[in-house]
Amino acid sequence: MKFSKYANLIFGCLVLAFAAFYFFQTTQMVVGGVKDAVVDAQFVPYVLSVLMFVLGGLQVVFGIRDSARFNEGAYVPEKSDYKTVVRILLLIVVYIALLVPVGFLFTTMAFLFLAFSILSPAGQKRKYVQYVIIALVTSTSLYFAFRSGLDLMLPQGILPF
Amino acid sequence: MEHVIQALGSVFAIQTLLFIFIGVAVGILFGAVPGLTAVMAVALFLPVTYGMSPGVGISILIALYIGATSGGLISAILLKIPGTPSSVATCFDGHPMMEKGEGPKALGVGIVFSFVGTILSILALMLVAPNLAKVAIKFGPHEYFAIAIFSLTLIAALSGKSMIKGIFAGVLGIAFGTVGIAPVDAAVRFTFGTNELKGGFNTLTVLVGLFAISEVIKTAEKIKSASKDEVAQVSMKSIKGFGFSWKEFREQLPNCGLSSLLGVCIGILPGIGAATSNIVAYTVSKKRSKRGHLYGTGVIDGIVASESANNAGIGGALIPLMTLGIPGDAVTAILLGGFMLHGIQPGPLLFTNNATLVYTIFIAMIVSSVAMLILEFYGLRIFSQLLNVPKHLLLPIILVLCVVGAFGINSRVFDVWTILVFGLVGYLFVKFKAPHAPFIMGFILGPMAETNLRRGLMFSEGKFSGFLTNPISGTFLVLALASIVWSAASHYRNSRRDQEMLVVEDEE
Repeated sequence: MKFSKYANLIFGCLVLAFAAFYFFQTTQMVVGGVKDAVVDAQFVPYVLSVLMFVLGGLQVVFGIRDSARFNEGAYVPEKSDYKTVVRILLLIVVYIALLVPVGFLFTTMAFLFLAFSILSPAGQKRKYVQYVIIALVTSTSLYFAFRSGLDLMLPQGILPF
Repeated sequence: MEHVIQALGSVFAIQTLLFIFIGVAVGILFGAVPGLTAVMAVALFLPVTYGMSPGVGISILIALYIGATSGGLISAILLKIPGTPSSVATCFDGHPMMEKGEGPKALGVGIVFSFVGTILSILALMLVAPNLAKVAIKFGPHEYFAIAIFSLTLIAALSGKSMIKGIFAGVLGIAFGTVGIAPVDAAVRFTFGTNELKGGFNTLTVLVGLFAISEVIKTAEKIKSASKDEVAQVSMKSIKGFGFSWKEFREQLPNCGLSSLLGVCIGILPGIGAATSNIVAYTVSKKRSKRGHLYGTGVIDGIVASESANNAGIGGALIPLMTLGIPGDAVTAILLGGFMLHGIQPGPLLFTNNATLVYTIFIAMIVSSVAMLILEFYGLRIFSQLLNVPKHLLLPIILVLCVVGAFGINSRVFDVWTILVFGLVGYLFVKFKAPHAPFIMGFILGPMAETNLRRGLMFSEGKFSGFLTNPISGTFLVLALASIVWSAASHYRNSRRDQEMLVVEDEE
């Protein structure tokens, strides 16, 4: 499937889906205060839901029109490397998850080393020694600079200090 | 006068001066390296300021802002690609000048007029802000509601090609702003039973996610196949002065004045800033100039227009921020977060309750501009070499700095997850070609509009008419309506024109 052809249509559907979710959550809200007031805590969320439904609907209509008009001949597919995107995202998720239990110092070191390796350009040789040194220096200097100099207690994790 | 002396003392302390110079240097680097932006520079350095006094902390942030706005010109001329969107129009003439062997002159002109633009905008800020604050101090909820609504409609209207996407981005921003405890009646909204969401999303996490994390993810997409950028080397040693004559400087003053004025005015408008003003100033200057036909072939006029306008946006964007607490663009939105972290609420009261800080900001801005002039001119060699820092080493470090900044806000990992979530939202925006700016403005102005709507209704006994009968709020609401109608009409005209062009192409 050509993403560009259906991008506007998909976007419209996503807007409608979010509008439905937001609207449903608004109806479930427990609101105290004056019961007969027109404007309570639900007022703005309802207005936003309606706006999103209208915008989503319009976007779907325009999306269908755009995909029908899509010029296949002039289409140049974008070169996107989603494999790297997924790998780096997974790495970030693991990094954040381990930040507190293991501590800032070691997780950051490991994260930097792995991220350098994942992102290094295809044609170039990976300089692992350089990666290790940068990861070590960056994480250590950030950890101690923030903890001792700038009063920001980064998670210490398994470290005793 | 007492405040001015105190402010001078605070800025001219050795430590503050040093921080300002470092701030400007780092800012220039962020402006110069394509992919790094002023928003990132300010966001990443916020945690460094946590432990400092408000005056010093905010001076550094201002220094970063000024450096980063100007730094884009270095890559616009040397790399032939703009370092930030603020310098797009600088390429139009900077690139041909470079090819003609006039690179040093192009850089000299860019640097000097960046400086002049900044100084003119600081003067505008110093002149307008205190007077506007005197008026704004009388504003109540009706006025604030109307101004917030007007700003929101303006952003949606001015953003990008698709009006629907622009408005949706704004609406989604407001929707995210409704998370947490509601104004006035303190109802709990969209927290899904978690305690962390009760306080809502922190503005800084939203901004860091949208502007920094999404950039990291976006770059990961292309980094494997990226080629090294060619950095042209120039030597500033052989040139006299700034590389152009006094006569040329005087000739460019009207152009610079007009472009700076445009920069200030566009900077004041919420949601758009230097990224728009450099192109508008270039176009206006080209139309007005007798040498208009030469623009784009490598004349200094184009660089003057673009560089004075983008830097003039700084003073412009700070006017609504300081007087009303409304940010003019994404960088000032981060600055707003920075003010809040230091316990300062920007708004008209700032000028009476915190006058020393106001003067500290003004003086820090002037010192930063001078630092920018010196550093860009004498440190060009170093900056041009740093343009080659490999992205695959830079981006993970930036990500770590984002994590440090997010964690530092409340010392909790929840905020770090938040930046990742908003990073993904920002990445989806990039993929679907939806603009970021309306989202962030909606996120900040939405809660402001809602709070003031409800307070205003309490004042006018539940009647909406109070918003229309108040002269200032009435005027802004009418302007808001006019801006919707105007932009809908112009979008309709544009799409009709596009359709007609398609039909003509088909017939051919």
